[in-house]
Amino acid sequence: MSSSNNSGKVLKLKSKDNQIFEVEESVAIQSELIKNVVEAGCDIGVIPLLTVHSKTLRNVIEWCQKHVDYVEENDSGSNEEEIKNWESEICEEGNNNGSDDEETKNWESEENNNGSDEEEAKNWESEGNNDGSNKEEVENWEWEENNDGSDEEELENWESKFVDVDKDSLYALLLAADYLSIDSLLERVIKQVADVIKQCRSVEEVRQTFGIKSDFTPEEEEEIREEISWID
Amino acid sequence: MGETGDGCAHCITDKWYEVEYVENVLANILSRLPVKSLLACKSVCKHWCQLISSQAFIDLQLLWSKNHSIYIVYPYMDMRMTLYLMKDGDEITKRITFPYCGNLSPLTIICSFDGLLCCINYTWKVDSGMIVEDVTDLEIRICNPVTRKALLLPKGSTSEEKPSIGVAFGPQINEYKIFRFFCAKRISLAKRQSRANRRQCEVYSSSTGSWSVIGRVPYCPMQSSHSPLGSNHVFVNGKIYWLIASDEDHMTAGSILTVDIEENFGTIDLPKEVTEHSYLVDLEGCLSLVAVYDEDEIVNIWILEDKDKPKWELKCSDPVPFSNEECVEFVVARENEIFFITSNHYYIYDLDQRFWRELDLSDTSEKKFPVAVAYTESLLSCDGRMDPQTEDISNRTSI
Repeated sequence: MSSSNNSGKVLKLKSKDNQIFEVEESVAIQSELIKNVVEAGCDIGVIPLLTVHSKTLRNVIEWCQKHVDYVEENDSGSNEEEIKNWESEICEEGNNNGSDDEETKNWESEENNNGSDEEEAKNWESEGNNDGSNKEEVENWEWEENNDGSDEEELENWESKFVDVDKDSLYALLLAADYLSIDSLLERVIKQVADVIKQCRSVEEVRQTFGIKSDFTPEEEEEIREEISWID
Repeated sequence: MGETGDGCAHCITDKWYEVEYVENVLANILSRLPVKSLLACKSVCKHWCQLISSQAFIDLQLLWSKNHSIYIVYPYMDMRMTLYLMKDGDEITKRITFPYCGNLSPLTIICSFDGLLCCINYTWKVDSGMIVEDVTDLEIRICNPVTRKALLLPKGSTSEEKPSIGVAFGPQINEYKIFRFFCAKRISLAKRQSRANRRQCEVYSSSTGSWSVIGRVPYCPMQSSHSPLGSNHVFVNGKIYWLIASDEDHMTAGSILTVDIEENFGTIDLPKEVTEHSYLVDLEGCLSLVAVYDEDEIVNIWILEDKDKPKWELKCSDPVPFSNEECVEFVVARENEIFFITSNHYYIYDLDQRFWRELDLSDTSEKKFPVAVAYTESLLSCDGRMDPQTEDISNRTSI
């Protein structure tokens, strides 16, 4: 079963209008549909997405890529762990003054005490034992990577711009997100359409916005209007 | 393009029709709307009307709405019977009145569940030419403040004492049972029946629409000292929990009475002796006992770990931000915080941060005995779950 996340594997997705898109597996499996195909081992050749037009698929891929990037950059949990591991590795390598000195001494005594060897040993020591600059580097990395608040905001802004499109494109995204089972995209587009409805100031405006005709008889409509006459 | 099905009478554009055609997508979109918008959207077209009126959609909307609960503060004894909603933070943002509740004696809210409120009030009676409250009986109403519907439950058995009420919901969404503890009238003049012997319980089920007597019960809920109409109870994890008065002091709790939706009664011990300022709340799905110790000015918050055995865990013990001259009048929990109403203040205690914050509700500060509940909007009908066979455009109307 090919289930490794960062295998760097590339999948081929085919849109409804027969365009082929090459997408990294880690990006494509944001779609549950594609993830299932991969886990079932059916990802040989091309994966046909019969209901998604290339224009929409391009956008969907962009969404998935952004979200994979975001997770990688801002996964503070694993970042902290990574930093800790890295720190302890550095410490082991560079800061074991006792054993380093011993080792170099042993090494020195093993080899002939050539000038070049001593130099080499010194260089090695200075490379490995630069506590100061290592710690600085780690600190800088931490500061860069762990600015959670503004990154989340940035993603939200990006998402809002992404769904700020004409209605037809929005519906296409909605249908694609549903078909491909991409929860993050589906949620965001659903919210967008709900917001559009909320902004309508009358029932007629809702109808016009979505191109819906009322199929009530005048009596039925009157009945319903009365039921909710206390609104507005 | 794919087939457009058997013609969509109401859709002009193909693209939107496709969206409506996909199962659940339209329902998901609409479930994000406030109830007021949903009611208006019923007028858009028949499809939308049928969808919004269906029990499946009502259940879906509730699931979504439950993640966004807010507080309602209610000034008991307010003749205007207004509910004050606190959305988005710690301020009052909206006021609504109880539907169909004009001309009643002051109501109090017993509980809020799934968008419905259960409220009780005394009835009026004429005594020596004056209209007074009849304190031996209570009217029970279920109302949905945002769809403006209310249901007056049928009268229960005659009681010589003021009855106590508790509400259980379930097993399905929009089903509920109301437990009513009353003191039956003496039936035989010859034999003296003690009050304790005449204490009984009956239950109203939303699916039958009527009361059925369970019979004698060994314990009755104690009356709340600060909310004369209500008794402190909470429904959580399939059971209703009430405080039972201790034998030594009727104002202080001694243990807990439980009943489940199948009408099995039981009792649970308290973790420790408590003062009269003890409350039961639903803390993130578990029963919690909030016990304020006035002298020490601390509050202990206990969680019941195992709902079958009385195994309590002390979740936290913290000093309270108010002096022992003030007493706690009402407590309610929502998510991971607890809302305290004291004689002069309103506080919210965050359990994760162990942090108190004070609220400024200047609107209600002059009112007395405020009650607060955690509330979510819903479309639930007051008279219970819809019979699938009668699902149609017209809602079953209640008074």
